[in-house]
Amino acid sequence: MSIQCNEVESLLIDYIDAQLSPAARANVEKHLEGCIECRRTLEEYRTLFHAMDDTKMERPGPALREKFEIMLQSELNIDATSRIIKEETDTKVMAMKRPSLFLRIAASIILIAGGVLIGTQLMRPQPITNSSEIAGLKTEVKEIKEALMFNLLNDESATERIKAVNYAEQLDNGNPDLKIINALFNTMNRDKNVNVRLAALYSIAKFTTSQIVRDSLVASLRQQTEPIMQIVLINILTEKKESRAIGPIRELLSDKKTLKPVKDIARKGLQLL
Amino acid sequence: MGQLTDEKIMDKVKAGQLSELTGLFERYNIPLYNFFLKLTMDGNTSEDLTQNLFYRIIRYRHTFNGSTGTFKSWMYQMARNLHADHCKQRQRITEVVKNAGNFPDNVPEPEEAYQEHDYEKLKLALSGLGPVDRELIVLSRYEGLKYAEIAKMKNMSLGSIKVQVHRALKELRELYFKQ
Repeated sequence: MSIQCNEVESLLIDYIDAQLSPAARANVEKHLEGCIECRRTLEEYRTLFHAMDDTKMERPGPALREKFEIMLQSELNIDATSRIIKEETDTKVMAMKRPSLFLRIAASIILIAGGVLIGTQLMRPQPITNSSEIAGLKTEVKEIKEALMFNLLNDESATERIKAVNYAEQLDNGNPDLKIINALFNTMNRDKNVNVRLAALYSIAKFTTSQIVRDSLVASLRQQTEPIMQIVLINILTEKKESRAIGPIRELLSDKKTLKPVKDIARKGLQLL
Repeated sequence: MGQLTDEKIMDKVKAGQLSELTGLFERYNIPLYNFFLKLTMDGNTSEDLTQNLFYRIIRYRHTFNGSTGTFKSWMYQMARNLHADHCKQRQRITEVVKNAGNFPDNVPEPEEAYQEHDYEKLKLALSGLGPVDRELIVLSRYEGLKYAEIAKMKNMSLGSIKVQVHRALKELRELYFKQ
């Protein structure tokens, strides 16, 4: 059985790839013997595949590995944090499987608890007999709010994460505990989106009265590679007259990779410190 | 210690040993970067996409199921989705630029990339293909995925994938030798 040129064309690829049955292979070879056009096509495919095989693998820049490692570290942290939260909420909010259900119930608890709080505020003249109950309720609300915030910080949408960051700074009447500050630092140092990192930095900046926070900011200056983060960090630290920042700022100045606007700010900062 | 299969490593990651992902990064960061590079023709974008892909792998680790397919095809399925998202996003941006009446004067013309070298010639031919055909060629010839794997990924029959790949190769051959 003889075959036509147009049928041969797609067989030629399988022919080169050695994917043909012996019979089909013989058919193709027979056709090739008598058809100069198809022989040329075969040669073209061979040349093309050869060129494709020769294509050298290009190597990504070193930043890729660095970013990967940061991402992995961040995921490890998130994983550890969520495990802690899970342990905590498992005992308090019982087993609620779906997050949407969890969020809905959490929201309704906040509403009810809020209502109770407002109610007790309104009825203040009366002696509060169940104050320990209310205190218990307050801590419960606080814990739910925290769990919500941690959940949001891990959201895939950057907007949601920014919301979480802004929410975090309002927790505990603007005086969040170490766990929350740590979460904010984690976001600031490791979130993949610079806007989220920046939002976290601005939130943290509100707590610079604490020496631990200032020290962590100084440490972060060494880690940040994004110019905007570097600039804001330098500004915050110089405004707070944090002399421990001098070292990292000098390092930035001597680093070839530091952008000029950052260096300008760094020089100004050093004069102030 | 013998080399673990991709699937074994991924199972460990799935079980919570996230650090094991480093092994898969070692194996696939360069192929994936090159995969994106051939689709986007841009190094920075390809690095970002590769980075995002590993993020997705870790985030969606629970959806990996070694009994329904190889790690490689699962990974490339995600890579395809990621690239598709990227294209959609870029299209939106181009439309915004167009509507704003800007002159896209820094868009490199294919001619600029022209060089005598085979490799450049091949790159140019590849860039002349439509995105669907280009992806088919990259998946089948560069990444070495089997037609059956691609068919499963694209939810198409084996026969039609084969026809499509062959048609794409034919077009590539014509582009390559027409230059």
